[in-house]
Amino acid sequence: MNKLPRLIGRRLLQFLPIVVFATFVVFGLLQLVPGDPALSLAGDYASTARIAEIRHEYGFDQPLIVQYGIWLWHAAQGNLGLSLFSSEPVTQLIRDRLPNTILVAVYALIVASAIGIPLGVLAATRNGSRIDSFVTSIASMGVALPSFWLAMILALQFSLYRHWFPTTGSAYFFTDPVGALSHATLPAIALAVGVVATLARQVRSDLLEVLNQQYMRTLRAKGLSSGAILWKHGLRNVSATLLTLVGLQVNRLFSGAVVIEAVFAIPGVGSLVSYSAINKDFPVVQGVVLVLVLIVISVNLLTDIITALLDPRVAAAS
Amino acid sequence: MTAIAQKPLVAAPPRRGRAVRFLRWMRSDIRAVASISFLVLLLVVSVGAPWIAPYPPNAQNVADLLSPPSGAHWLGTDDLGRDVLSRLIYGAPNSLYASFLAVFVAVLLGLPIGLLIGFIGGWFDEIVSRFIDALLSFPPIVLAIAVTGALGIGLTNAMLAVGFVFAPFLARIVRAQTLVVKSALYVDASRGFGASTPHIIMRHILPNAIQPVIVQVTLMLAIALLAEAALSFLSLGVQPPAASWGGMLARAYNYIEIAPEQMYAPGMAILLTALAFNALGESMRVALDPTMKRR
Amino acid sequence: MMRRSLNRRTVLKGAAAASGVVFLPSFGFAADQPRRGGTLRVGQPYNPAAIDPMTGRNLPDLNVLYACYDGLIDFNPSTLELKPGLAKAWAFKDPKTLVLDLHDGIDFHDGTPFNAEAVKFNLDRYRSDQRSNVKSDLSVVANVEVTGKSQVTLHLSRPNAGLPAILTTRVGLMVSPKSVKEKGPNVDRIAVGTGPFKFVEWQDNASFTLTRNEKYWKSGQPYLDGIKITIVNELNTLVRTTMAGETEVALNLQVPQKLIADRDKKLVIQTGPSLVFGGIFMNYARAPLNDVRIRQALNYAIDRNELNKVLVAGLGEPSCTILPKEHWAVDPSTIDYYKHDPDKAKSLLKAAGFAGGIELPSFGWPDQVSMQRQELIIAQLAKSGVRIKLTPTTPQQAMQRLMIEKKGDMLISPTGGYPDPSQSYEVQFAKDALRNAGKVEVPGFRELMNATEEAQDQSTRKAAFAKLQRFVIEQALQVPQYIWPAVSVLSPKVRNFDAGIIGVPKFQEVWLAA
Repeated sequence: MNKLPRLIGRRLLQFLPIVVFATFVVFGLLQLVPGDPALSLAGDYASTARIAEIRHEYGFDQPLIVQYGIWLWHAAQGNLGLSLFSSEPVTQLIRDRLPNTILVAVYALIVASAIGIPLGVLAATRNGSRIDSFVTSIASMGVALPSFWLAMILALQFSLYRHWFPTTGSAYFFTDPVGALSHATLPAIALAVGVVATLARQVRSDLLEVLNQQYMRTLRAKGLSSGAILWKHGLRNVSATLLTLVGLQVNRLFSGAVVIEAVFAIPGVGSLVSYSAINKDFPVVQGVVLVLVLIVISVNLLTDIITALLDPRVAAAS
Repeated sequence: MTAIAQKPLVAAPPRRGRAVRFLRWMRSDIRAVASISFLVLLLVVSVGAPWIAPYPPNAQNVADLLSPPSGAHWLGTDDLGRDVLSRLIYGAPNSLYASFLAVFVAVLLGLPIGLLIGFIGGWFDEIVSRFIDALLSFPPIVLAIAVTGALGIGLTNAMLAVGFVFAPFLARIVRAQTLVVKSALYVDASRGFGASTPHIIMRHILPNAIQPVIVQVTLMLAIALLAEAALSFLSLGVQPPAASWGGMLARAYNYIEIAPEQMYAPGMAILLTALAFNALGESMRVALDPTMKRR
Repeated sequence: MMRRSLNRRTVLKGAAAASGVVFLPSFGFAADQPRRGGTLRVGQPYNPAAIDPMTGRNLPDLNVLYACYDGLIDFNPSTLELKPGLAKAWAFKDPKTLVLDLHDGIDFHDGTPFNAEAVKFNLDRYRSDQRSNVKSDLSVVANVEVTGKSQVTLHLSRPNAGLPAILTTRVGLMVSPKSVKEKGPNVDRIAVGTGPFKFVEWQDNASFTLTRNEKYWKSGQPYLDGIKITIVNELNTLVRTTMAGETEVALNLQVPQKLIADRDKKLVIQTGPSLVFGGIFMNYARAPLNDVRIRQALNYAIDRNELNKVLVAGLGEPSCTILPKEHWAVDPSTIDYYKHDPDKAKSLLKAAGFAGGIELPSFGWPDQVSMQRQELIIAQLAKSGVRIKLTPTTPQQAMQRLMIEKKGDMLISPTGGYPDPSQSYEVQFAKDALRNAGKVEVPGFRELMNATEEAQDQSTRKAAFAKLQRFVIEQALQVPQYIWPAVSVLSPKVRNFDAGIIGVPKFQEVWLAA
């Protein structure tokens, strides 16, 4: 398929300005801080010499666009600076902690998709029934539920009272997969609920839309069974948007992970960014935000490409 | 993206007629009635907190720490002997203020930008839309935390951050609506309405575009509430000793083994309020545009 | 307060009234012989920044440091009285010359000999290495001289009788010079000392593995085959590892964890005073806190007993001074100088011109536990007309604001941790001390301070400290509330464990019952 490289190329080109803008926003965070950005990067107790050094290194005496360039150049080389708090390289801090966050997020995504999508299908095919109302109500509830409250309740019931799962912490997946999954289960469930609600709702409405369309009725008139209609036509048609939808949830999962990690004391990037923000440890905050946004953008890019491959209409439409 | 039906547009119908139809619809929808009643109750409680709450929210009583519900304290006391019910009541105005502030900021930023780019279109639209896409790629709470960290912790700053994070989402919706209205209007205009000045377009675009925005704004109130709760939970939002539902949850979590019941009251408060905003938004969506397909 | 869970049953008479907390195992240990063997699994909440004594920062690092390194001078954990360490004897030849006589025949873990040269190497390194965080501890040392194969003489720039106590801390820990020369900055990550345990491995923020030093110079010790320290950042999780039998010891806990551990009747819970106290830093260089009456009013307005009861379940020591009463340098007669008396507080404020009350902007810490403490203090002070306007901010930020930028008037925060009492006073009240917000010394302070550093023998020093303590209390240069309780939770199999006032156990004396 020599369409593929061109497709990817085109998509990349479309995403490029997004990446650039995102990095600009991350860079801009530092400028939001009242006062001298060099002081923010140097931290408390820094000597005037060190502050001047940073000012020179990051080019704070230069025009803004130059500063951005320097920062971007450092970042592209993997140098995200040092934590003001612990003097560790930010890249290393993130590298140590990111797998924990990703484990929980991916786990939550899988669980949520496995539950949410079938629920949505069920509700759509049984439109108007009690099952439909039930699913819709659950979806409404799930969207309004504070995930960290659910996390606390889960921790209490299944960890403190019943000891089915460990309460806090994490385990390294590649050395101890069972332990890692066991630590990640309750957090994943807490995170997943909101996503289940969104997926169920969206799948239901998209599928309903497709199933109710004219040509579906034609197919039925032609004698195709409901099952065949559902699978071959209904789901095929929504699968593209479904994939995009699932990809969009990644963003939300990272968002929720921040608070969930606080509840379960998971050493991930979520807890890293929140206590770094409180401590005004800017290099860390910027580094984490940058990494997360790049991951989200990459995931969206990927789902976009796969969607285009799956559904030529979408590809043609862009 | 939202599938937005193409309504045939004429000049906007008289406002009063539309409003009356709207109210009639709402009254017939149980869900709407329930959620509006709850929100009104919440508003009353918020405004009347000093008169309604049985105790001052910060009145400590060290003889009576973490006690279960009783006649004197309907929801028990917290770790400094303060009445949980009173703190819950005093937390309500903070939560409402927080949600409305965030949404206000989102509308303040998102509405004009969405209108502008939808109306002007062209490369201006292209560039700003890409920028909006970029902002939408940031995990919202993470960005809110970063902005709050930069501006300084506290409820107002946290909600400004949340509002800033929501603005792109709103802008996008406004833009989509603007495009719809714009194309329909031009179609009509070409039928001889006469040269459309920006003034007339504003008078036509805005009223027609505003409906899904109102729905979206209501739904956003729920999300803003949850965001405030999360940020206060992380000690970035409402600062103690002021009462806030998220802050109460954070304090309760400290005592989860000794007094687990502490976490139910604030959690329920958040859940019910978010449900109410959500339900209201859903009902409004149906009420304002019955021909629109369900999402 | 109970310190040793075994032999000091007599101490219980005071502790039972105060806390009723310590669970004594019902069988008598006094007769048990130490049993050799077993790996002790320990949990702690902190990941050290480094295990080179020179570059780390936090007190809990000592959990690992004291296991792998020995100090020149040793100490009694409960009272901090000095004992011989690697130096078998020490004496001041004159007030500015300290002579250390070292033990013979001790080797580092890598086989190189411990001797006077090694001591000089270490002390010079601590004094002058670019990365040394402990330079100020040895600031009084002008010169280190090897005066014999096993004798080192320290020449001081001015008298400081506190130097031997300082040599029980980081700057007294002896690192193998060979390992420093070979490994350079990597010495941060490995520990080669003379201590009872040899360093095996450190998985960052996860665990430490230590094994018995078979050639340890105190014969018979250590009893344990090895130690595995697991780092669990969250305190509640940490205590649960001991409750679940995954560890035998949980260190550096706080009172809420004790309340959790109480549920398991088998566990041994040790609580006792630490070197940390809850206090309030004040800027008394300027109005309004430069008026001693207002500072005294604060001290009268605080209800220490209530704070102790509510915040630490009565396990702390309400106190008007900055060191625990078990400490040899503390004079018990002025510990409760200020009784809770809101009326007296009000009349003092009135005399100072604030009949209608006073407003004081203050910093505090943002975490939940600190907020609880701050809220309680604010409520107590409010009853005497002192209105606190609190700005929660992180510990480092708070120090920066109050101490360097001179913003705000006060900072409510725990502090402490210096084993030599002269240090404890210097770092808070000396003119240029970091923790002195106003950077002024109240007249009369310096003479009393110097007297504690110049006195040579323990009893003279003790008397000098009694005067200094009384002065600081009467001048109300701080608002101490209570001595912070240290909490450790142990499995009943653990014997001879005593974390002492410092909160760091001597693992070479610990053994595991079968």
